[in-house]
Amino acid sequence: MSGRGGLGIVELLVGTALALVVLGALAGAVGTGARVLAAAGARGEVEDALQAALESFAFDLRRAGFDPAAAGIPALADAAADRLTTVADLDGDGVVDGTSEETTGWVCGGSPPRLSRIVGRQSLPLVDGLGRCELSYLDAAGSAVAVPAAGLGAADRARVRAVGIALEARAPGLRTPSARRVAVALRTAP
Amino acid sequence: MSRRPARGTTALPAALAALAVSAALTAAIADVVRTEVVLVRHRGTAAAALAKADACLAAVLARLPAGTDFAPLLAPEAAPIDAPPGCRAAAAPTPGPAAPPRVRLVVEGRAAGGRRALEALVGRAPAPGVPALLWLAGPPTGSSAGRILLDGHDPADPDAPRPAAVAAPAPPEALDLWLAGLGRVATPGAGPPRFAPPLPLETLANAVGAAGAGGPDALGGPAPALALVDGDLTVTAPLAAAGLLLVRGTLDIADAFEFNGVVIASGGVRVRGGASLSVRGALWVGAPPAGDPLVVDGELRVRRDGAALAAADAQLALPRLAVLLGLRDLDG
Repeated sequence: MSGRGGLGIVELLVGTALALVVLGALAGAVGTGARVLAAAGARGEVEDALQAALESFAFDLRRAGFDPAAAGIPALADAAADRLTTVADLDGDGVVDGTSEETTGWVCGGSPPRLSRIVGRQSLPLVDGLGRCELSYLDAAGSAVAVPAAGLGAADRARVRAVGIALEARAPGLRTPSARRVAVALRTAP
Repeated sequence: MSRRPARGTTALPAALAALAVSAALTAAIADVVRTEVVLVRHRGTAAAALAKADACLAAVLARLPAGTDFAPLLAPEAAPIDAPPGCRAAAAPTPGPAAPPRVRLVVEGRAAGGRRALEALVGRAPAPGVPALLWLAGPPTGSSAGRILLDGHDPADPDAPRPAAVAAPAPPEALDLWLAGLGRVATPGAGPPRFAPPLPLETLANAVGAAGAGGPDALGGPAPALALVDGDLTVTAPLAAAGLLLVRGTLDIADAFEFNGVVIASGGVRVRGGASLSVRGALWVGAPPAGDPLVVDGELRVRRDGAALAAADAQLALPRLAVLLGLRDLDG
């Protein structure tokens, strides 16, 4: 062939086919890699958001009812299936400031559902696009306290010894949702 | 001839471009994974440190001496708070009124390279004494050729939490072994042995004395009374009494002695063969200078009786365990 100084049609076709196979495999690998990257990023983002929300939830519940001045501050000011308000006397002045971190709200609401943490009048969305966002309340025996639509009354709130939250969110493009649930015991005396 | 270089320059750049894109994607995936791994590692460290801080608080609370307030902790000359390895604790007064008694504890725990601190609000338990039928001042020693009954049932209050059969500043498994080795011991309705901190027996004795307690002669009636014996007390004739009896020495039972309330013997208890000691309430036994704190050759019966405990507490406020009233994380 070298004597002829060029390629035959068969050689050209075989070479082109091989090149197409290699480039196709490369393109497929690149496409798969791009999808893995997008999925990993989306999954990681949702998992991080859920975990951060639960850590923040536990942080608020652990300090609910902190009452160094013995002013008779309850742990829960409001408790419903989709919302919760914790109070704590963080500066020890015997008074709960409704516009500071001493009053913290948690709300599951909106469409699509969103979990928000509310400090005073400031609302901080923590997780968007939730498929599930439920609050639950447990008594000293670990039994669920039935929650009426209007929320728990004062007597039932006083029975609550732990608060649970269940979250589920699906990252864009993923079939399997990410889920987290935790129950945080109140640290106040029964 | 002129088309050959053109074919070569098309295929090679395409392959190189695909390789570069693949490498970039791989690097991006690796970066995402690395970020997640770092986040998980940090979360693990923070969780381990927080668990350690919680464990530190539980251990410190369990070791705080029983009492009626927290003045000894807040005194200028107070000893450092007893905390397990990896933990630190410091006490501070609380704002607001003095009653109910409470104290702030700042507790720090270190684990897995992390550190977490929390501020705990600690008060006194509503229930008097130790939730146990028999309290010992130290690691349990003592022999029993007789019979011991530690009955946790309280017919008047069947829903009350079960008291531990025995409590002491010792590991529960050591208490369990000791009980099992005594021989004829029955613990119906009682819970398993538990750790309990020291009780301030000397402070309590001084308080009993200051409250105008009678001597041994104060014993002998059904009405609850305060009785303080400076030294040993030997019961040589049948006797029934109620209230709070504190013996600074050894309580030596040579006949039948029935008591409703709390019996405290700083120097130990001995029940001779053929004799019996029956307490409805609680029995607290101190550590004698020498010998076993509890020697039972006859019969010892301790039964739970919430009303008798309350009556003794009404005579003189009994020491109470420290309990958690609230906390907040200082660095969450």
